[in-house]
Amino acid sequence: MDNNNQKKRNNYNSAPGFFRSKRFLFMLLGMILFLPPLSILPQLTGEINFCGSGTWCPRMFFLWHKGETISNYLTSLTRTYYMGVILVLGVVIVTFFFGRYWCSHVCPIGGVTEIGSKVIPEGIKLNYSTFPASAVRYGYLSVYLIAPIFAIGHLCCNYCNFLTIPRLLGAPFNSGDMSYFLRTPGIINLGLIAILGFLAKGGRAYCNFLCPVGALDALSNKIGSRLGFTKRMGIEANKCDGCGICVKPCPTWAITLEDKLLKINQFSCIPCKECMIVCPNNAIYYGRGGR
Amino acid sequence: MGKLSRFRKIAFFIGAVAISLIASHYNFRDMAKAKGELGGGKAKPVIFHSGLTKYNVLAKIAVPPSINGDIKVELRGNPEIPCRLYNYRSPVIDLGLSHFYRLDGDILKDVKPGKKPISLRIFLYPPAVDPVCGMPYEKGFLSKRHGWKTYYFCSKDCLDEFNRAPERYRGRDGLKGEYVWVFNSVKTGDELLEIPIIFKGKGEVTMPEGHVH
Repeated sequence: MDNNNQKKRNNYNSAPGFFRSKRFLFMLLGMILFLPPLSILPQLTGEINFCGSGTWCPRMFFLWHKGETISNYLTSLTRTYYMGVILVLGVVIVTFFFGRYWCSHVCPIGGVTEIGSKVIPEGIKLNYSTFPASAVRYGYLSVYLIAPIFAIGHLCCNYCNFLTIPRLLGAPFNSGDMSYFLRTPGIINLGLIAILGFLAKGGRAYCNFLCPVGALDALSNKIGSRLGFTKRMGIEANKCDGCGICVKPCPTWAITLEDKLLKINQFSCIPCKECMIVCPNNAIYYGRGGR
Repeated sequence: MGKLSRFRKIAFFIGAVAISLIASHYNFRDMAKAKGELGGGKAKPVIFHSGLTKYNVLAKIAVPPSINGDIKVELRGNPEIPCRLYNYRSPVIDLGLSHFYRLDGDILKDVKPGKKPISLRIFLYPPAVDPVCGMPYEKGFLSKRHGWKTYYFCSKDCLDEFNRAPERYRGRDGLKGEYVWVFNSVKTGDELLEIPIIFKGKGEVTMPEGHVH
């Protein structure tokens, strides 16, 4: 058992170790289901990816535009955005009862950037771990939700990785997808996913800073854990010796070490369990009541 | 330490709100959306005001049950301008789970009512406008760099006039022209839908006296 753990620890952030993990297979499945070239689920409804006429968009339906009536809003939920609504409700409910598995295991968008970042050499990657991610994320989310209500502008669609990544995967095959990257918004979004995705340590900076779905998911996780339902990563203080090995592999820089005391920021944490694998003392667990 | 980190968090929150507010203003006016229905005649016109060199229109076109067969897509207007068509909803691998419209050159193949409307994007490269006389003119004839911009002229007279008082004509180089995006039935030749695309240009341009083309 100890030998096995040592082996896991040795390749904790190496690409081969990641590509053999179960989580990678789940992400691959998510990509096959949702993203081009196959995009099986969107094709069922006549779409080719998350973006299009809004059917599968998990973000647009949050927004209340200035002058929109309640009946208008509800009609758009059931007629236009229905698959996106089902998807996000599913994600939030699963999180409420079982934990944030969508973010860590299934989400093909975060998956692509994480997988992409694994093949980029560590030396040139950017380290965002000094930024307090949840403050940035909820700052972004509040403008995301409020700006359209007062018609100040909108962040939705102008900056979206659910739009850029499917097009990036479709672009080699499809001139329609390619045409997006000939426009200024396409170039801006490509820059964003490069800087906050592929070139970020862990590949999850976009999720951590700018994902509204992740922000809602974290809130659902918080409420669920208050009521004692959901599972979270937790630390057994008596087993932890404060070695800090677990800090580095965390893709969302949720673990901080202060005076030999480990803390997990539950608003950033996705249960990828990279820290649990590397812990030499088995002090990190996944279960109810994690702190 | 705890107090400092809380202060940092609040600072980052405010910073994120400020940057997001600025970012939410971003609206690059190169794109417009159009809606129409095949067999619906004329759609609401698309109007562009700014002076960029490339524009695109995304059209969602519904297909009523009466439509069946190939549809020819073209852009009409004077002077003729380069444009490119992109089908915005064509899967890389068609699994046959839904009906998708296929674009072959400028012909939409096998159009029949499906679950989703046709989603087409057209990229237009409108001609530059002579800032002196206001005539849209092909690039590559007479040009003059002034400040950050290159201006195009229809004749030597216009260039001379511009050279006399460049400040007067600055910023009048918007794109002007009226174009129509037309959808025709290949089988019957009927015109099924027209989407007017209008470039308004910037400012009023008057023709100076004694102007000869």
